[in-house]
Amino acid sequence: MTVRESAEAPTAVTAAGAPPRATPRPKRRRPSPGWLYVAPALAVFAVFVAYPIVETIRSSFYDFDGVSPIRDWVGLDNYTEMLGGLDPYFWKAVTNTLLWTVVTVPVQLALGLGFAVLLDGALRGKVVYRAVFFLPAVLSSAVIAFAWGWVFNPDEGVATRVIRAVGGTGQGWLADPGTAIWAAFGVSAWRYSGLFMLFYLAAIQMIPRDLYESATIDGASWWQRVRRITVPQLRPMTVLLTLFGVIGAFREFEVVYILTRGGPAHATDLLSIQIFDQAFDLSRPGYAAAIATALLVLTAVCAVVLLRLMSWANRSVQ
Amino acid sequence: MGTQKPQTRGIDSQGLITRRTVLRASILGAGAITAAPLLAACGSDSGNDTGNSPRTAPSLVKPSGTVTLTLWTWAWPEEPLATELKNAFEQAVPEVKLEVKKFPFPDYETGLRTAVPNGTSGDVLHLQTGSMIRQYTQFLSPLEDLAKQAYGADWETQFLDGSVKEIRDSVAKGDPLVAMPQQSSIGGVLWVNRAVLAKAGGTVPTSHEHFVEISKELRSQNLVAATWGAKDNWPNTDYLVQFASQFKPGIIAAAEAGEASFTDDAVVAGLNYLKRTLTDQLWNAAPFATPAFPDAYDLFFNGKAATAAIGTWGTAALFATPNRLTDWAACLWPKLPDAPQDDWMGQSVSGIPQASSPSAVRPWRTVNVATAMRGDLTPDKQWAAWKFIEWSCGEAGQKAGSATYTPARKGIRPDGLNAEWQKIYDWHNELGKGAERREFAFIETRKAIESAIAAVCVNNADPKAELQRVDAAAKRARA
Amino acid sequence: MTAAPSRVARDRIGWSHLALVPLAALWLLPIALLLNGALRADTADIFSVSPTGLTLDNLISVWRETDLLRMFVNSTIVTLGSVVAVVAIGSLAGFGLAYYKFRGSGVVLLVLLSGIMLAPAAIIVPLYELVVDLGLLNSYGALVGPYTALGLAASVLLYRNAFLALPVELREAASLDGAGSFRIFARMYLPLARTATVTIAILQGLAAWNDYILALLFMTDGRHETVQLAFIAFQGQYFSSLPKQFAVMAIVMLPVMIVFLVAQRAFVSGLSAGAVK
Repeated sequence: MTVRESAEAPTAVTAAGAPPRATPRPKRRRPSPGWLYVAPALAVFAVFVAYPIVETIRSSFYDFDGVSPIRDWVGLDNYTEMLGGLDPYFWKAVTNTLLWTVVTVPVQLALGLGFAVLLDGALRGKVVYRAVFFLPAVLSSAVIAFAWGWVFNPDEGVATRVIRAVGGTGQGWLADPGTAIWAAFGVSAWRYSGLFMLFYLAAIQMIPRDLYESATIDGASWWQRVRRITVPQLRPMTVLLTLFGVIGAFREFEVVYILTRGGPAHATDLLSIQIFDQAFDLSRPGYAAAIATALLVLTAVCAVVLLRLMSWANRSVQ
Repeated sequence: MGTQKPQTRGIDSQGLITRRTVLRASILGAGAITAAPLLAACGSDSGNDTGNSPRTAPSLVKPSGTVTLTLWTWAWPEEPLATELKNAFEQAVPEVKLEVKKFPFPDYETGLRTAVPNGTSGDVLHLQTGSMIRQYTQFLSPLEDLAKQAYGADWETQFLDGSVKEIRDSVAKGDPLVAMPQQSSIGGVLWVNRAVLAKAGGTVPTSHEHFVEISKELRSQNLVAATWGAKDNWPNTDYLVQFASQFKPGIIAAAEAGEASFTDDAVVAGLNYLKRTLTDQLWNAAPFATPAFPDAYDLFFNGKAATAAIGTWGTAALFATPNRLTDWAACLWPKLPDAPQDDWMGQSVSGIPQASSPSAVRPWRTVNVATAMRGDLTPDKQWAAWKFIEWSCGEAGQKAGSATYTPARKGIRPDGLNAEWQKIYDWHNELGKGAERREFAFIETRKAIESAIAAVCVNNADPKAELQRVDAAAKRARA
Repeated sequence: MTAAPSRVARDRIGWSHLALVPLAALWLLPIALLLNGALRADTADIFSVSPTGLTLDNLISVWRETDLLRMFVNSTIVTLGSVVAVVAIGSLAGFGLAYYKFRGSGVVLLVLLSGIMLAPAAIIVPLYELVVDLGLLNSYGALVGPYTALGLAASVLLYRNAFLALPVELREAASLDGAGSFRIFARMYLPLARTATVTIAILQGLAAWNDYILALLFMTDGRHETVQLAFIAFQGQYFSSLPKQFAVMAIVMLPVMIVFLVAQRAFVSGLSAGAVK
């Protein structure tokens, strides 16, 4: 850690040898030392985040193929095409993306919380269970899509055989536009619930023990203690995980792309998949950028709401 | 391209942004940062000059030492064959060290799109004919003169009929030849697993009704009549091209060119027939959830399906199987119900060893892999790149590759063909005469057709309404 | 390490095995399927459950035919690099935002947080051009930079929250001592925010190790490929050996799985140890 001190370029520049003031206070002319600490992050941000975002928004006003250098300024045409009903698949993808968020996030929260509550206690084998439920979180999208592809394989996948055994049509869930997205939901829940569990487990450790002890003395049952103490005390973590979950859901791409490629017949199209298809398959990066901008706005709206919830939850638990 | 550098100027000048909402901050923040480059860009976007659109043959300089050449491809065999093929080339041209960057096919377009315009792609590229070559022509080197020097004035006739033309047709009028045919195939041929077919009478389908009967019989034994990997989309347009051509040859190509409408009765009839193959259950369970490679073809290779529509590209793979001489046969899709008589085959037969039906469905042709080189290479790299192309499309390279694909050069065949296999190879060359054009000039058109097929087959959408959308997309693509 | 089992110990929650055992089986199913397929010699036996006919041949030939060791080294370098960068840069920024109240700090936070919303699929092309312009193509920086940027927002948010949760007396005591702010940060705040550090390292490590598309596009010279690209070598143009595909997936999956299984206890306790509220 001490090595890092010398590498702290911003400190050296403005403080000129003298250590920055420790007193937290806003000073008149001199910029706050706080800037020095955020400077590296802002620099990374400016290069790797601001630029791509700006470039994306900028190109959403152009029509071009991404190969030749010719770009036609088309103003808001991409947006009118997208929002004006000319693109039959855009709204389908919006619906699917929202559905994806609304379904997977609560399921992951519920499973994660359930696992955490059950596996926090004195249950025999809890370490094994924790490991099993967390396992999918460490796997890559390629591995996950590959393995689940064989579970859902319409010809001889395990899931398909089970359906056939109970008298189903034996087509496999990914084949039917009505069920394909739910199969993908399942994979997502499988993948992330263990991660949520881990965070809940950590948060449970932070709950003051005396709360439980006094409740036990009052004769509260296990279930009552979970409901009245654990769940409310975990609220800040729940909001944080909701934020991560929602943003993750909006960004979801690889597993669905490999598993269904948005099909059958656009049944599992997400906005992220449309962005990819329009930019690379259809050679319309400008239009893809318009969709990406829409996704950005959608994410921003949700992030605002959730950040507010977060500060509210943090306050209300104090 | 590199003119739009990140502008951080806006960050501290944003008194107007309160911290009240992230929404306003993020939109306005990004907006303010955008404003400057955006305004600057309005006026001066045409200033970019690619400059790498050479129209003259490159000057090749043989390098003094070793040159490292990078090939970008999706069409390279798996290990250990990959290394064998690479070694074969390096032995033939010891001055060049070949590095192969392989992409999974679904990601290849993404790889090209990011790298080629930036001049950071591989030196040599494998490309598909049609829209892929068309898009990147401006970045590729003209090859016509080099081909003439290397193979002689009659070089074009050394390749399978129509394969060089296929590449010429891929580029806009007046643009040079920028790729050489490496693999050339006739597609839409039904390959037959004789052992499986034997369980349903043993004769190849001679009519649609016969096909349905075979399928029924096989399904009762947990087998399938034909495999279709509709999740990959490209087999779907292939089938539509074939089926529509039964009613009017060349109709899809004409419709794409704007000389006919996609709502033409022939296209509607072809699409309706495609739908009918599903309701008549000719296929494996759930084609639209099955990728063509490997799933659909694995069904066939593992003895679960009687037939599979593999192009001649599959010939080499079939030929590599242990009982190759007795296991396989080939035929064409039988004539469709209600289709007019179409005697395009002339002297040719509709199946080997048995005929399927007169007036069978036309196959299609494609140069499924063409090899090209970048236009902005240094002279010694140009030399190395051309050496690779010359070898790949020349006799030695084609022979070395014939273990894994169907060569584009005439007369190149793997060793050990018996009389029947000889006939199969000959037959494929003959079929080219009546074959339909497979590739599309514009991706938009292809994608619109894919969407229409999925909508009709999966969601029972109205074919005519869906095909109207294709017309609109094709029109926009041409504009 | 003595968690607090007492609060539930007296409850009989053994019945929860009834729910947990089938769920655990479901959780293991795809992984078991993959491992099973990797150990079968024939494509036809991929789904076989017979205990006979298992072989290590696929794993061995996959290991022999590609330079997997180099790919593992590359993956480790970019993963560690981006974890260190995200922890260092994120904790500094989190400290600056939590310790100082300055004009514009709110805006800075929001601006930095907007990075959390980046969908990689949406920004591939500008990101690629950036990497080319910076001369990073085919270097570890080509991945460390974007991975760091994509993980930075979460890191700043978590560190800021962790630092804000530290008692106010702590900072007052520290400043009375006359310690410089960087000493306060490095000696006091950062060690106390271990929970956040472990969380961020896990999230970032997983994201970096498992990325596929940026690695595919940014590492093209045959020397810097990461393990996530290993399977490509075993895809034929038209026909692939399925058992080998299973085997390469298994080889890529196993080391991470083992690391996490071994370290799992440390993670859970690491997450909770710093949390003395």
